[in-house]
This record gives sequence, C-alpha cells and structure tokens, in this order.
Amino acid sequence: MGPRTGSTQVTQEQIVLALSVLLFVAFSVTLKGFFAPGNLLALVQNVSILGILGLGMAIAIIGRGIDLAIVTTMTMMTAWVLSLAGHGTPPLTAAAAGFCLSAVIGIVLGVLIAYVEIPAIFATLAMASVIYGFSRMVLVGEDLVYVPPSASWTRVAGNAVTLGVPNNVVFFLSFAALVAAFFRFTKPGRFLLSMGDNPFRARIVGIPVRPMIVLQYVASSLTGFAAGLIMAMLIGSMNTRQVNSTMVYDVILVVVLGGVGLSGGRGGVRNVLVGTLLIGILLNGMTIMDVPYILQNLIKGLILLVAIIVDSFVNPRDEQTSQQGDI
Amino acid sequence: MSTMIKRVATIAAILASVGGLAGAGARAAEYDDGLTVKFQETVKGKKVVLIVISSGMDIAQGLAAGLTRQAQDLGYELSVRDYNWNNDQGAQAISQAISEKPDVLVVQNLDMQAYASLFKRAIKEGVKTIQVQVKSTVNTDAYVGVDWYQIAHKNISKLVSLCSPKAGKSGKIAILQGTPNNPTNFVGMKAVEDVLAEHPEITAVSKASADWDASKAHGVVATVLKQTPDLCGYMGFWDGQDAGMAAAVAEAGLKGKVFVTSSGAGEKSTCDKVTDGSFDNYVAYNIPLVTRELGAAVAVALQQNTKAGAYPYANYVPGRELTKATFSPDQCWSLEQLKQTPWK
Repeated sequence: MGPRTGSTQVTQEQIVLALSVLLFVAFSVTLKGFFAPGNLLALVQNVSILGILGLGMAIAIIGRGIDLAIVTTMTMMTAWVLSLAGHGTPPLTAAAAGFCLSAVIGIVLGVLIAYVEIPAIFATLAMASVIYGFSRMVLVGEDLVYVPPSASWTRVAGNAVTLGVPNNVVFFLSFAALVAAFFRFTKPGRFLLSMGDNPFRARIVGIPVRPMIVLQYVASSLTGFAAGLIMAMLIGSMNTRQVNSTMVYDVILVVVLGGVGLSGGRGGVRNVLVGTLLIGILLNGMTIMDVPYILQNLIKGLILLVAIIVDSFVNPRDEQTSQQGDI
Repeated sequence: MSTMIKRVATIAAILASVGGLAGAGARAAEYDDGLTVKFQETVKGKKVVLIVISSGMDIAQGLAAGLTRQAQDLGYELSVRDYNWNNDQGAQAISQAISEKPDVLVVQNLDMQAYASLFKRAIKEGVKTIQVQVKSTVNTDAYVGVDWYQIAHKNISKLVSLCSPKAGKSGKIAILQGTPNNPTNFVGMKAVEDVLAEHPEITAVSKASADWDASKAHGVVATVLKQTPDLCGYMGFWDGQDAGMAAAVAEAGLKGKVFVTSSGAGEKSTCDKVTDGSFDNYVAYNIPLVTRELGAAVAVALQQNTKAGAYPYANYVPGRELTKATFSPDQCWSLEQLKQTPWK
C-alpha cells in the first residue's frame, strides 16, 4: 500500500495553514501591536522550544511510536547538567555527560519497545517516572537549578540575536532543516517513514526494523536534551517540576495539529512547523488579549480534540497493520 | 617498644574513662532552675513528623534542616516526609502520620483546601498539628509562616509608588500570575487588586498566568513588553517563575528601565538575582526566622499538656525587602548555615 493519494483533496496541513493565515489576519486587524516586526519575532521565539520538542516527538510518531518521556528527559538531563556544572564540573564536560545519559535513555526506551515489544505509549510513560525518580534520588537534589556562574557565557549565547533573529529561533530552524534532511536524504529517514507506514512490509523488504526503532528513540531523547539546553540558555534555570506539567500534551498538540498522523508514516517537518506556527499565533494573541489562564487551557484542549478528530478521518487506522497498543 | 605502646594505650584508656566519668558527673549536677530538667525530660524521646511539599524545594530544605538540628539538640525523634508536589500523596502521608500518633505533626500545605478534613481528623484524634508557610482554611494548634497578603502588598506598593505619573512615569504596570488557585497567587492577587483600587492612576496592562514556569513566563513577558513600550514595572509572585520574566526584560534591553519585583525563599542562589540587578525589589520569606519560630512552636506543643487544637494561634513572620542598594550578604540564607545553627 503506497501513500494514500486522492482520498482527501485537502490535507490537514493545508487546513491548519489556512486557519493560521486567517487568525493572523484577524489578529493583525483587531489587535493593536500584533503586526509589528518585534512582536512577530517574539511570537516565533516563544514557541521555538516547543517546536524543537515537536520535531523530536514527530520522529517518534512518524516511526509509529510516541515518546511521552521527552519532557522528563529534557528536564531531568538538563537539570543534571546544570547541577554538575554548579558543583564544579566544566560546563562542556557536564553537557557531554548529559548527552551520553540522554542517549542511554533513548537506547533503553528503544530496546523496551523494539525487543521486549512493550507498546511505546506504556514503555515511555513508565520510563518517564523511572527517569524522574532516578534523577531525583541520585543526580539532582533541588527542584529548581540555576545556570551557575561558570556557565554564564551560555546565557549570553542563549539571549543573543543573529542577523536580527533571536538565537533560539535560529536553533529551531536549524534543527528543522536537520530533521527535514534526515527524512528526505538519509536511508534511516526513509526507513523510518516506511516502517511507520507498515512495519510488516518494512521488515519483509529487509529494513532492520528493531535497530531502527532504537535509533528513533535515541533521536527523540537527544532532541529533548537539546531543547532543554536551549531553554536553560534562554531563561537561566531548569525547574524539575516541569515534569508534572502538561507540556508533553502541548508537544503532541503541535505535532498532531500540523497533520503528522498519530498512526505513523505520515507527515514531516513541514507539518510540525505549521502546527507550531498556529499555536504561536494563538498564544501570542491570547496573551495580548489577556485571556484568563483557565480559558487558555480550555481553548488549547478543544483544539487538540478537534485535531485528533480530524486526524482520525484523514489518517484512518490501517486495519491490516494496526495492533493492540497502537495509539 | 611494643610494651611502651601498650603502656601508653593503657594510660590513655584510663584518662579517657576518667574524663567520661567526669563529664557524666557534670551533667548530673547541672543547675535546675525549676524547668531545666523538666524541659529536657519532657522533650526528650518525643516524636515529631514533618511533612513537606518536596525534598528539593528550598523552603522545605530550610525547614527540615532547622528542625533536624533542633531534634539533635533537644533529643526528640524527627521524621521528615515529602509528597513531591502531589496532594494525593500528601493526603496519604498525613493519614499515615495521624495513625502513627506522633506528639506533634507539622505540615507544609500546597494549597488552602486539600487537607482541611484531614486536619480536623488529626485534632479529633488528639494529634497536635502545626501548619507552616501555607495555612489551610482550617485552624489547627498553630500556624507559622509568612502572610501572603503582606508579601504581595509590599511589592505592589513599591511598584505603585515608583511607577506613578506623579513620579514622572507612565503608570503602566503588568502582573505575572502563576496558577490562580494557589494561595501565594490567590491571596497575593487580593493585595494587588486592593492597592490598585486605591490608585486609579495606575493601570495593569496584563495579568497573564505562566503556570509557575519560567519559560512560559519568558514568552508572556516578551510579548507584553513589545505591546507596551512604555511599561514601567512588572510584578511576579515567585522567583523561580520570575527568573524567566527577568530574562525577558534583560533580553529586551530594558534591565533597569522596567522595574522588576519578585518574591521567594531568599536562598543564596536567588539573592544573586538581586545583586546582579535582575530583581529590583525582592521580598524574601525570611526562612531562617520561619524555621526558628517553627522550632519554638514545636517546643511549646511538646511541653504543653493541653488538648490538641484547643488554643489555635498564629505567628506571621514578616517578609524582608531586598534591593541592590541596601543589600548585604547576611540578608540571605544558605542550607549549610541552617544546618549549623544550634538550638540550645
């Protein structure tokens, strides 16, 4: 079964893009100060960390999985790096240690899912608790860890502007280009798409499905870690309580909203960009309008619901390949 | 040679035992002013349970360090438990503690409602209960901690006086909330609204929430700053979140131009944000004082042979305002310092 063409004339990506344009025009006309270069940059900047996490999540979802541990990995590994640096480890050595442990987390996740064959949704959910518990007991003593003075140069880099564009937007776009190139030009990228579409077919044609799944979770874990470092460079701290927040749902929201199919094999970087953009416009507009917190959450929740409903119509479950535990 | 060593060792052992006896003798003959011995005997061996929000939270670490030190000095048994920001786990921990019948139960609340019925049960079952830092709607034997209204009142009053058109400023300020149902935020917002009602010349252009999350705070503040170029001041409710607020202000090149106020535990690492100019006004909870007052409340509860909950009282510990101009290092505390402060 090849890519479905012609089954739907309008893709979800196009709907969301049109919706973004509509919202953008509406806000530009009605909200004073929305359509200003400064605000538009701030708009993208405010969602760029979410966007980077979205790219990591997209890798997991496109390969027919999900990484519910991505926010926990991001938070605890970054907090560990800051904590190490705060106790005298050189910042770059600390970051290298965080990188290695994040990769190990990805390998453990991948092995659990590929070889032990635990559904991704349960494996990553359980691992999120394990990562948090282990980190809190052994690695990080405080709830809130600040960037130590020895690494204050990272704050300068995090807050700097390159050619008029804030650095974390630059990071986001470079990451997006990297992931796009991975899917388009590399063998593992093509394999991942094929596996997501139909894992049985992928195995028959000789794709090493199990090692590829491990790679998929290493990639999502490392993307999470990178997002955490960029966040710490920007705001100067890492709050481990973020683990208990609803952030992971926001990440799924930008991915699914843009049109990456939850059943795998569909979508790419462009979808994440479109989803991130819509959420960015929405958050920015709601902040300018001073919409109360509870209402903001309600609006976000409703949008996620609609996106999932649309997704189930546009990307219906494939009866031949779906199995228990699929999302 | 070896006999020499043996002889020295024997002499040393004799000296040590004589010294030990002398020490014991001195203690037995300690002066009793009528309460000294009674105090020591009453407090010794008693059981105290401290339940805190999280073992990684600066406030909780301070409280635990202070009480641990007191327990060592006075000889009571202290058990510290934490519920990791989870009210369900907290409820379980309190139920468990009530069934263990400690002499005093100390609880750091996360919100004002969650443990109300559990506190009633503790009192009914005769467990003396002290609430610390956040008070539930139910009164127990004692409350020790800050007055959230006063903390926010100090910050908003400062902001209003600095940003007033009378002082040549725009009169525009913004408030960064955390989550609306938390007492820090809920009670604090009452103070903000009361002060703003008295000052119609001041307008709050934004009252957005950032979920106690520094990166969300950064996003909100960056947007509001772009929207209101003549913004005079920004007020937050907790330093952890407000770090993102300060970062956004600095990033916009407005450090020192937009007045930033915050509040928090006042631990050393956050005090750096006062000295580096990130926070122009910072109200610290004065945790060393809260810890001392909590220790006093525990000592009283252990000695008084009254019925649990019979005489509820409060001890509101005033917050301490820190600014760069008036800063001195002794205004901040560190965990090490609290661990070492003796109680006797």
